[in-house]
Amino acid sequence: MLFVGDNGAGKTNLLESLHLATQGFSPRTRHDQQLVAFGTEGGAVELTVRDGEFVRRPRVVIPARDAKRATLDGVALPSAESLRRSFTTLVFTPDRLAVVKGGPAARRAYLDRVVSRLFPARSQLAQEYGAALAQRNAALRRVQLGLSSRDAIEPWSEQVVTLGAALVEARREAVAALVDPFSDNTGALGLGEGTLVYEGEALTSGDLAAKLESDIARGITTLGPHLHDLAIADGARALRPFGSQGEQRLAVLALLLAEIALLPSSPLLLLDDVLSELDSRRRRVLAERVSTIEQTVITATHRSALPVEPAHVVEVTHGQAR
Amino acid sequence: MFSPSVDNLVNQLTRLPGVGSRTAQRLAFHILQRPKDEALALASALEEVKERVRFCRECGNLTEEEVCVICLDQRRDHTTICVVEQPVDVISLERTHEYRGLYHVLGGALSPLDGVEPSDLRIDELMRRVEQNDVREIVLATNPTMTGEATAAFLADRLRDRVRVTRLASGLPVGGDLEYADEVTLGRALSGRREM
Ligand SMILES: Nc1ncnc2c1ncn2[C@@H]1O[C@H](COP(=O)(O)OP(=O)(O)O)[C@@H](O)[C@H]1O
Ligand SMILES: [Mg+2]
Ligand SMILES: [Zn+2]
Repeated sequence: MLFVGDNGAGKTNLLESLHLATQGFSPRTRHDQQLVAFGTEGGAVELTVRDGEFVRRPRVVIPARDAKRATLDGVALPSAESLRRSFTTLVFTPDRLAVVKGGPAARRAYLDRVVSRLFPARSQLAQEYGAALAQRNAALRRVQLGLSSRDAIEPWSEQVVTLGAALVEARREAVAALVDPFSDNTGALGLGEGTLVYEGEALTSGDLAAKLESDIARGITTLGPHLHDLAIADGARALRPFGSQGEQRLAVLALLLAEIALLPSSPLLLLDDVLSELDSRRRRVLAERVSTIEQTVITATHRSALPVEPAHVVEVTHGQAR
Repeated sequence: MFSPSVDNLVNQLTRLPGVGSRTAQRLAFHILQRPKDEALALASALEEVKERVRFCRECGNLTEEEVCVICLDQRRDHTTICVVEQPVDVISLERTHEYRGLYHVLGGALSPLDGVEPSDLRIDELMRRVEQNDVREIVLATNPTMTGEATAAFLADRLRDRVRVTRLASGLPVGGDLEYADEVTLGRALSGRREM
């Protein structure tokens, strides 16, 4: 499906509302009130989703001065975000370039999102590790300030090691699964052979214990998956320092397509402003690869930007879709 | 805002856990609208509870005597101690009518972020009970939260050499369908599966 319209017509808005209605949150902002149309009190999105023989109706409401709520087929959900358990939506927006050109934190966040989509039972792992780490850091600072004794750090070191080892293992499994489909897609998109390498060692209690004194002195944990990185390269060339804008964009798309190849069922794919910087050959490859996915929505300012015939064209003008 | 004494009441109520300033205001106005004897009954209940109820010298549970009825009960198994975070946890476990041992109430869980240290919990008292009495098993029943798990790990490290240490199992809710269990709970139940 193609959304066409001039700049500022409302294409990204429409895409965002599809994400909100299927995942319970915006891919752009955590401030839900920003999603409500100016001059109105609160808002809602409702979709009819056909999935094989099933029809499902997710609905997300953002009240004027209250937290958002979601229902699925009329049944209230514990949180809007729990729509993620029923629908998978992947999105490319220009912001996602940060995965390739941003700092390590953007790549860790990306990997942890992949982990939670590929291994739902481990979807809380990154968050739990973060909570254990915050406790350990607090314990370190309390010891440093003389408010606490060393043995108070111990249970948190244990938690950090247990959760950290599990998180590293999950990330490595995710990377191992992504490697082949990633290099397949970089090849097809004309990037050369893409490689992914997880950079970081599994945490052991011995390693952490060896750092205890310096960790106390600095008041932070200086070892662990919160400092790891993912090396994304095109052959021997790291894409972060050396890739062009277009190449970095292709690498992000290749990661997205690789992840889709691993998902158990076909997701909803939202591609915002993806065509503009690609040459016509790469546009064609992308369009062909994407056409095997159950449903893809692409935005463009011109109909001709998409080299294949879309199943539907939606024209967006002044915030109205036709 | 209204009068110093109303403000004072609102402020006192705000100190209760889970009560924000809006709820505190609602409660304060409710109390103001009720007959005087009803409000005084609340005040005297507060006074009485603080005068009469204290923590059991042995286990830390709430009691009106020096030692609570559970600790005094000779029919209970004095060789087993179940460690919980709060007195309400004792009530929950007692409702099962299945546990016949004693309890130890820690008064919370370790959390450096909230400034809760081992010395803020009744851990030394627990170690003393294990040393001085014929205790054979410690059941760790702190909450299955991160702070509860860390507290359990901390205690297990200190008790393991002296006494058998067990931990409550965590798993699927009884009477629920697998279909409705979330992936995290189900994953945890899977990794904690047992031989049959
Ligand atoms: N909460 C809002 N209410 C109404 N209009 C908004 C709101 N947020 C952004 N806009 C406007 O919507 C337009 C952007 O639409 P967008 O979907 O980004 O356009 P494009 O078609 O270029 O993707 C801008 O003109 C912006 O000012
Ligand atoms: Mg846009
Ligand atoms: Zn007692």
